[in-house]
Amino acid sequence: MNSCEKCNLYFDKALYNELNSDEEKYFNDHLNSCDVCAKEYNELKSTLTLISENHERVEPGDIFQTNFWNNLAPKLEKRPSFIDTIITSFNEWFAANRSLTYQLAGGTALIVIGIFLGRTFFSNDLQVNPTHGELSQQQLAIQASAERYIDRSKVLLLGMMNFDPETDDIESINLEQQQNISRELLAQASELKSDLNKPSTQQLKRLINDLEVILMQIANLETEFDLAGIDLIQSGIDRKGIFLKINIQRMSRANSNINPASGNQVKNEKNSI
Amino acid sequence: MNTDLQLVEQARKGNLSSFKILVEQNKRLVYNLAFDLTKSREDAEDVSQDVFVKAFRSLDKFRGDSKFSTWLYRITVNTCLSMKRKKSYSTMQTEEDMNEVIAANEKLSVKFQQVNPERVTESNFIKKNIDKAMQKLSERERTVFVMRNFNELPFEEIVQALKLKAGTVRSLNFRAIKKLQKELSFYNQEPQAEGANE
Ligand SMILES: [Zn+2]
Repeated sequence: MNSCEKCNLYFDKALYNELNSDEEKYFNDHLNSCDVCAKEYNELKSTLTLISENHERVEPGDIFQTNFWNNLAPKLEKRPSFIDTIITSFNEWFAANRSLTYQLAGGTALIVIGIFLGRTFFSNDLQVNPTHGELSQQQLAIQASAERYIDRSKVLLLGMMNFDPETDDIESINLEQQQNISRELLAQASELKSDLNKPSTQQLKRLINDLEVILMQIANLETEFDLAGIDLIQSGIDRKGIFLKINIQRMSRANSNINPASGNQVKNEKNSI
Repeated sequence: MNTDLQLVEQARKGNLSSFKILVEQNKRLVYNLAFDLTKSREDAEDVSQDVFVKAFRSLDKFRGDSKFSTWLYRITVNTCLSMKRKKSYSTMQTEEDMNEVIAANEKLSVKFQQVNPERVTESNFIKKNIDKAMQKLSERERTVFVMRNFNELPFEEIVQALKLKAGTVRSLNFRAIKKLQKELSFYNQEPQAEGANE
């Protein structure tokens, strides 16, 4: 690092008088001997001064002073009831309670169409093909790891959907941990996808593709302060209908469990539930 | 003397007069930050109300590991950001809100005008340019810059409020200053320009 670069590193602290005496001596000596740094620093300093001098506190209206509490108090006492909220502002409510909405909508949708879709949409996915008898050991292993993968992703995504960046603390989402899990899952995705090479597993592969996009976004979030990023992820999960697809996938799995042609291992799993 | 945490605990149990003390102590801090972030008096007043409603409903989440005001700053910043998103703020910033800024500045400068009439228009012009330059900053740069330089919050408090790393907060602020310097470089050249006329 040359002396100008070192001096530049002190600019930020110098602007707020935070240099210790050694740093300050170095800084001033350098500015006295280097016109380039001196000019650059002075420009930054005078910009800051210009802005500060022209910044004014704008007084709130009189009502703010006199009636702030009176306006606020009724809003504190009245907690929005379920019916109220739906009637008054469904959109607001949807944004704030997306995951709950999702579960309600998803649940209803599943009851009405789930079984039908489950049979048609995923009918061949990872199910025992009666003509081939039981799944091979290898296929069972792939199935198990795909299921684990989807379950872990679902837990992660639910956490993201439940996070309210407006009031929630970062501890409640633990973004760093979520990002580690996302990266871990992303690392597994390509191997898993190449294992899912049968025509019957293409639907599952697409689900893992969808998940991959969202996991990538989570992994790339800079901080939980990145509200736009979190919003993008939350609406992406919504838009892609990820939870519905996961639920359908799970149902088709359940269907295959009660399928008489299923292998013994699957039956055992069902008995143990 | 009640500490913030004591007042919060009482408020949590439903004691509204304790919460009222917290509101009265902090409403101006919230308003000032909200105004600097939204540049609109009306929005700042709405945000202030929203912030205290949210704070009241989330009192369980306040654990006292920061000052109550620091916690409110976080809610304020996030409320302003989501308000902006909802209103697609950036597109309307130029007209409606700029007019409000100008109106506010004009009102404030009436007194000043009587003392120093020729400088008023110049000062308005500078303020407008500063507002324009501020719009060139990213959301995060502007937020950190406003908190540090307008609300004069120490870096550590911004770190706590925004839950960012200390290095990130400092570099966001410094990046903001550098961008603003570029946008406003006109003002740094003013003395030379005057000299050149001679
Ligand atoms: Zn130098």
